[in-house]
Amino acid sequence: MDWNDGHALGRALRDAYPSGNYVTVSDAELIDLVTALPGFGKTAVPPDAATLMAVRLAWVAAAEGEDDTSPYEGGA
Amino acid sequence: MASIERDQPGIYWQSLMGNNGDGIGGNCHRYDVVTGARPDGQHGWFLVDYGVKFGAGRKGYAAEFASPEGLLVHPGEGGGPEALLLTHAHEDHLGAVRHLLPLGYRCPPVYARAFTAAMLNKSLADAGVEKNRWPEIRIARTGETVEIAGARVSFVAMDHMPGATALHIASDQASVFHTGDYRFDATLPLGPRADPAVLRAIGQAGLDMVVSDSTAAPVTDAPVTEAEIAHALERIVADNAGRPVIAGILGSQLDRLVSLGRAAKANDRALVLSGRSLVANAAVAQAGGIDIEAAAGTPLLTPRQAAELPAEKVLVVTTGAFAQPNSGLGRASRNQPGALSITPDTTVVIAQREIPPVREAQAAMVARLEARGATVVTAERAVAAGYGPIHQSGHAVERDCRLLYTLLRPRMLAAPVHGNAAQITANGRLARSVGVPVLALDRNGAVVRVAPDGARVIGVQPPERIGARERTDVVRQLPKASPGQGRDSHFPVPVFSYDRLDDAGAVVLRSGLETAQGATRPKRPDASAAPRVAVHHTAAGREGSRSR
Repeated sequence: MDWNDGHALGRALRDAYPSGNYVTVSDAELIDLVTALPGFGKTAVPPDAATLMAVRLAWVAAAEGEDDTSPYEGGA
Repeated sequence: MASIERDQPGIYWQSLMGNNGDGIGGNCHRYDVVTGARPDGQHGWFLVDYGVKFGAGRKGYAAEFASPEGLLVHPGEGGGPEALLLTHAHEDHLGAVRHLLPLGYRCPPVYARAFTAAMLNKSLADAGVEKNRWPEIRIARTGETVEIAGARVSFVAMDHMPGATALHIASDQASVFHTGDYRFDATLPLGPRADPAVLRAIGQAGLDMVVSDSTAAPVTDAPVTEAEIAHALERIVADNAGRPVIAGILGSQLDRLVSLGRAAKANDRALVLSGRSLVANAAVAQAGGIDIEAAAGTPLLTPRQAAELPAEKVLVVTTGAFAQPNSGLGRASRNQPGALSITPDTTVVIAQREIPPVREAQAAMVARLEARGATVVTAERAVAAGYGPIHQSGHAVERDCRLLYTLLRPRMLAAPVHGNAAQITANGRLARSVGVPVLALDRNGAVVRVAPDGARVIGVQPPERIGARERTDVVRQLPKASPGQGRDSHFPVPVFSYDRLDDAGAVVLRSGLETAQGATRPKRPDASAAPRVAVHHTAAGREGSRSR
C-alpha cells in the first residue's frame, strides 16, 4: 500500500487501531499511524493535504459504513 | 438560439439554476465582468456555486444540475470560466462538481473557504473521481479580496454553516453582493460570524445589486438562536437522567453538534459521534482548525471509545434527522447489524424540524423507534412539551431579509434566488418594503446587466439541465474489505447515466451525455487517456464559453 490507496488504508487503519479516534486524529498522528501499518511501503514523499484528507475520510468510511448524507440538507 | 452579447461595460448576472420553477437547489450563477481596463479583451467571467437540485429523486434522478455544455471546456481547450467560487459546502451548492469531472469537463480553479474546499474534495473522493481530475483549490479567508476575472471579489462571513461566505463583487462599473445561504445568529459557535457593521459599510460605500437567499423568507416567526436551542437540548437531556439518549441531526449541522456537546457536558455525559456524514464532516472541520471539541467543551468520542461507559452516561449524536436509510437513526430503527442499540428506556431526540419531502419517511422512522420502546422527542414535540424550539432554519427568515436589505441598501436592484415562486415573491416583497427595487424571477436564464446607468434584463437564455440517474445495473467495486462491522464489505462507486433536460426538468434527450469510460473508476492506471466524452451540443450549446 502507498498513500494513494485511500480505501485500503482506511480499512487497514480501522482494523489496526479499533480504538483510534478518526474524528480528532491530527495530521502528524495520522501519518505516524499509516506509516506503521504492516504492508505500507516505505516512501520518502510525504502526502499532500488532499491525500491525507482522503485517507482520513477513508478511515471514517471504513468505520462508519455507507454514506448517509441527505440531499435535502441545504434546504434545512 | 441567439446568444446574448455581454460586450458593454458592467457586471452581468445570470441565474443558471437557483430560480427554478420546480423547486429549490442546483444553485449555479454566472457572472461576467466587462471593464474598461483589462488587457485581455476587457471581458472575464466566473461561476458561483455548482450544486445539485433537491427532490430530483421523485423524477428518478439522483441529481439535477445546470448543464456544463457551453459553460465548461474540456482539458486542453481554451475558454471557459476563470474560476468557480463556492459559497459553502452544502450539496445544493457544490454537489455537481463530482458529476462534471467524470463527464470529461475541466473545472476551473475553485475559490472557497478552507472547510468548503475540504468538503468538495471529500465529495470527489467519495465519488471515486481520480485526483488528477480534481480542480485546483485556492483557499479564501474571511475578509480577503481577490482579483478574479476583472472584478475585486471579497469573501464576507455569513451565518449558515462553517465556512459560509457571501461574495462582494465589484468592478470599475458596478458592484453586486451575492449572499449565498445565510441567516443572522451571533450565537452560532463555529467560525466567524456575519458582522452587521461590515455589511453596513459595504452598503454605505455604494452597492448596486443584491442577489439573495429566499428559502425561509416567507417565515414570519422570530428566529430562535442556537444558544436558545442549546439551552432547550440541555433541559431535555437533564429530564432524561438515567436513560440512554440518542440525538439525531443532519451530518452538516456542526453548530448543532456543539450545542448537543454542551448539553452532554452540562449533564455529565460523554459525547459520542456516529454516522458517516456527521463523523466525516466533524473530522474535516477538526483537521481544518474548526475546533468542535473546544467549542463544545468536551471530547468527541467514537462509539468504540465509549463502549465501556454506561449508556446513561453517554449522549450519542448521530445522523438521520431526515430519516435517511443509511443513517444512524434509520439503521437503529430497523435494528440492523451494527446499528445503535434502542432499548425501551432509550430517549431519541430529533433536533431538526421535518420538511415536506421527508415527512412520511420521518414519521415511519419515528413509528419504528417507538415500536421498539423508545421515547422520541421531535422538534415539534419539544415545543409542545414546553422545552422550546430545538431547531431553526439555516436560512434567512423575514426579519433577517429585512435586516440584510436595510444594511446593504442596494441602489438598483434586489434579485431573490434560491427559492420556489412563493419564496422568491416573499423575499421580493421584503426588499420592496425597505425601498429596494426588485427583479423576482420564477425561471432561470435572464441575463441582467448592472452598469452605472442602471440594472436591466438584456435578454433571456433558458439554460438546460442534466439529470443524473444512478445505474443500478452497473456494479463497480473496489477490492473486497474484511468483514469489519458487517456493513462495508465493499465500497461501490455509483455509476450514472445522464439525460439532458430543459429548464423545467422535462427530458430533452435521454442519455445525451455519457461518462468518459473509467473516468470514475478507481485505480485505472491510464485514466488520463480515457476517451473523450460523447457530448451532443444543442443550438444553445457553446455560447457561454466564448461569448463576449
